Amino acid sequence: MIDPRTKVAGGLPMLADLADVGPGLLHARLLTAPVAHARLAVDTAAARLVPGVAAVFSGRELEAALGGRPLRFGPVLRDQPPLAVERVRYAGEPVAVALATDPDDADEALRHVTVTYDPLPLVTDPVAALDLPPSGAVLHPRDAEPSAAFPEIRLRREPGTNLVNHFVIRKGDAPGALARADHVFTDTFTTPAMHHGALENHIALAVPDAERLVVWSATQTPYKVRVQLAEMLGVALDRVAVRTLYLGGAFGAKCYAKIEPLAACLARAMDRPVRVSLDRAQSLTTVTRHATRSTIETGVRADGRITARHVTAWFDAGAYADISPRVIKNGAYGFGGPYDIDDIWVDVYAVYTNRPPAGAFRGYASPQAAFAYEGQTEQIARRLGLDPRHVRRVNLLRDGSRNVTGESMTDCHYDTLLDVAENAFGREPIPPQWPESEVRGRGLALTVKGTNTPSVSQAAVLLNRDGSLQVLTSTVEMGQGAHLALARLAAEALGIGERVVSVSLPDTDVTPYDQQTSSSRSTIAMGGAVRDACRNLRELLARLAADHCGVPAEQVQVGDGRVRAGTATFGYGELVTVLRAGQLRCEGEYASKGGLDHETGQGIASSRWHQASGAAEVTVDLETGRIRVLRYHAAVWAGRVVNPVEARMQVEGAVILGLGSVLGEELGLDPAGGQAQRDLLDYRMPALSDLPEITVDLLGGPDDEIYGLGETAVPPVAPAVAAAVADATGVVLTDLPLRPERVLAALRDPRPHHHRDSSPGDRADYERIAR
Amino acid sequence: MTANDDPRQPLRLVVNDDEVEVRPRGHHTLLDVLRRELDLFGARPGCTAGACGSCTVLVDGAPASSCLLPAQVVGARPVRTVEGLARPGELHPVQQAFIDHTAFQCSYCTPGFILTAVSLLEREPDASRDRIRAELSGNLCRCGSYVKIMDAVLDARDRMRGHHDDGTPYTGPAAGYARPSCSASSAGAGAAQAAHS
Ligand code: FES
Ligand code: FES
Repeated sequence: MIDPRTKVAGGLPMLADLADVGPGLLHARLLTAPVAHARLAVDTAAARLVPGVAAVFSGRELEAALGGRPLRFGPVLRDQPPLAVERVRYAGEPVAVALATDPDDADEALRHVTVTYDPLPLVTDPVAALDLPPSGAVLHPRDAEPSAAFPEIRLRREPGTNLVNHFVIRKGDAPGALARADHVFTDTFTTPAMHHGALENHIALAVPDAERLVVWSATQTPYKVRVQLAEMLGVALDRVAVRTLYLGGAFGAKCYAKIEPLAACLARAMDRPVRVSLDRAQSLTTVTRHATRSTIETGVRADGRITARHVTAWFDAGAYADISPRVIKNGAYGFGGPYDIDDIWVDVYAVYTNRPPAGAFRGYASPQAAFAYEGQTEQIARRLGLDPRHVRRVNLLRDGSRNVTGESMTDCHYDTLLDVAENAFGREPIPPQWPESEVRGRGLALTVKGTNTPSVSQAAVLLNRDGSLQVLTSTVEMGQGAHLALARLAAEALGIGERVVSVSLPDTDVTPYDQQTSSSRSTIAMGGAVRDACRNLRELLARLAADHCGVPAEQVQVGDGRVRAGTATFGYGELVTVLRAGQLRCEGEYASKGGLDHETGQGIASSRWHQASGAAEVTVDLETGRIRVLRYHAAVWAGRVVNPVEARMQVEGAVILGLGSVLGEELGLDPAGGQAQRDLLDYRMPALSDLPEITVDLLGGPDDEIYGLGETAVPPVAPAVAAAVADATGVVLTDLPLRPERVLAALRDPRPHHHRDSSPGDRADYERIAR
Repeated sequence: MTANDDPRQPLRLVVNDDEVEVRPRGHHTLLDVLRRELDLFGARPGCTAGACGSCTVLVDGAPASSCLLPAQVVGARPVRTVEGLARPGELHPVQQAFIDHTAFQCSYCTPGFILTAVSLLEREPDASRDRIRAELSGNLCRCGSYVKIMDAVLDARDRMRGHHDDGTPYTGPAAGYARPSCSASSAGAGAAQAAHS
């Protein structure tokens, strides 16, 4: 287990601190493209002459060095080269790499690389990108091969277009139900690209020997990276080992191969260890959160009951598919929200553009979906002259309701979550003593988030002769506290102290298979595998003790660190010693089932439904448009909480991330299609001075199921704050982030933010603003 | 400019009370030297732009972004990194308070926050909550451990001065000890401060 003293001494082992990986380590430095879409010619000849430089490669040269095969990776579609070949597809894409023992020499070499860029049409609007002619504006004219990392994903694509995938849900007859509805409201919401912002940048180290490649990586997905590297290099899985240390945050950015393919190729080409370590500017363009545009058409009865919905959404996948095909699945089933809608159709398109690739991001499309559907809940209530809380109440999913994928719901807690949000700040009215220019309001949001399903986790436990227990797991510890939770579950299952339990770092040579550390799944899935392994260990101890003492197995009791067989009692370690067993080892597994029908999107989308509410109180300065969040209350259905301190911190962290997304974080483009934000001075993330008072409710009890907590509290934040702004100003804002100039523009002219179907709500809004 | 135009120059630094000789190039920062030459990894690169505070060290007792500070300009001013904060067997009270409040998740940001807090509390033992919040706002924590970080620093303040805000004696966990982060020279502290901002 991590000794907290190492954390306060700066000594927690992280990859950037691991320099000594064998003789001849080469540092790789990357040259990245300043333009977003162009044909490319790279000349490395002069650079190779720089003293101290071991090698310089363009994308073509790297392929040639490894036998001439195209080198491509990607967790679903293998469309991404480690270094751009012939064509650059986003600004920030690596186009050349220099290697040297002294990184300064590599930097120097890059100054002598000449690159010429022959511009291609810039594609930045995912909606328009779908209809572009197949001239230079189709980013991937040739279809990419599928990856073995996610063999089960079926795609809906049109080769020769910019469509990455189209995910479809067809529950009931949405068009018919819309035609019959009392009211139909159509609203469009947008969210921008975002940076994950893990303080530890991407880093990977590849160490080759004659037969194998060991890759150290700050990755959340060691086993997925292993598959991706093996298939790219054309070797068997056992020829690649992936190891991680502790991660300095990840938030989805470190899911699936990112810079590992480059490190692996360079190590193979040079037959020397290679370290690829990105700086912030490079991390900012390595992967982002999907920018989205979502149009929701919802049919409503006069009493606020939702009868039908059709969603069309575009997710900007950026230049490479990464995990977009799967992200949009979660986005698609997210659009139902926590609401019971009989007839709902969803069409989500992931589209290639000349932006940095978008991938997994804490919340996995549910924050973008939640901002849209909860924004519309507010719109609907206002237009019908109803209380938004009432509109939510009459539509909630409850046990037995059929959700968007047709699953019959159980363990639904939305009524409670709504109660908590309503009462978050007591019932006291908003005090009136604000400066003239400020208005104040409160709002709430309710959200749903799924988890990676179906999924598999395996674990092993090793019992030593001194009674200490090793948990072998490929779960990555990145600050979320998974290792402590796993130790606690193991200790509990065996009735031993946490202090005698240690949890391994992932190493695909040693630690059993795990799908990935993401999706708030580790405590549930890996926790399940560890508990299963411990159950098996108890059985093994009972059997061995029965044999040893010659008593029937039923007469053996295992628990509290002891084995009682007849009259004899052994400590666990003592029994291992007495039996001369050396060490006892047991395996365990957790596997969730599910999957959605390709044609209808119906089935089991998620093994758990993560349920949350948020309540916000804000002020809006009517002169400057500035929003200040005064208080925020997060409530999540946590079920059984394994580790209360860190659980609460995960929720607080999720809220703070959400606040960043609503108040200011946005990756914009410069005129050349480059990312406008190059460092953390431009891309501002919340600091202590930006925070409201944050309070947290973890709902549930010791007898409930375990629920994931890493992401659950993210989705409500943006819509709850937007709802509070609507309460204060009468205007529902539809575009994240809620920047002051947007607020001012909306206050000046709320009309575009409202629906054609004018209603009493609209007039009330105007009056309120006029006052 | 080539690497040859920017040769390594010997330089003496005082880091964590030890005098050390390093050979940085002119463009190397204090962060480069700490990590590449001295194997001190507690100061961590987050942005290398002065925006995140994860590379914070104390120079003459004042927090400085080591990613911006050219090694050559540090001169004789004492440098303290998080590795030099604890005494054998005994943590600094700010470190202890971070543990007692679990004021971290991934802990990448932790050394920077701790050193910023140490410096503030040495200069202003009675720093108010608002003052602490303002001073710590140059450090980022993407895991969002801020609530607990505030709790920890407030608690450390009370430990170090021996009483709570209302004057009642501090009765929490052992107060620990306080090692001065430097022999303060105010001119030097000012310069380092400028580098931090
Ligand atoms: S690395 Fe971010 S301030 Fe120095
Ligand atoms: S604890 Fe991870 S960045 Fe602060």
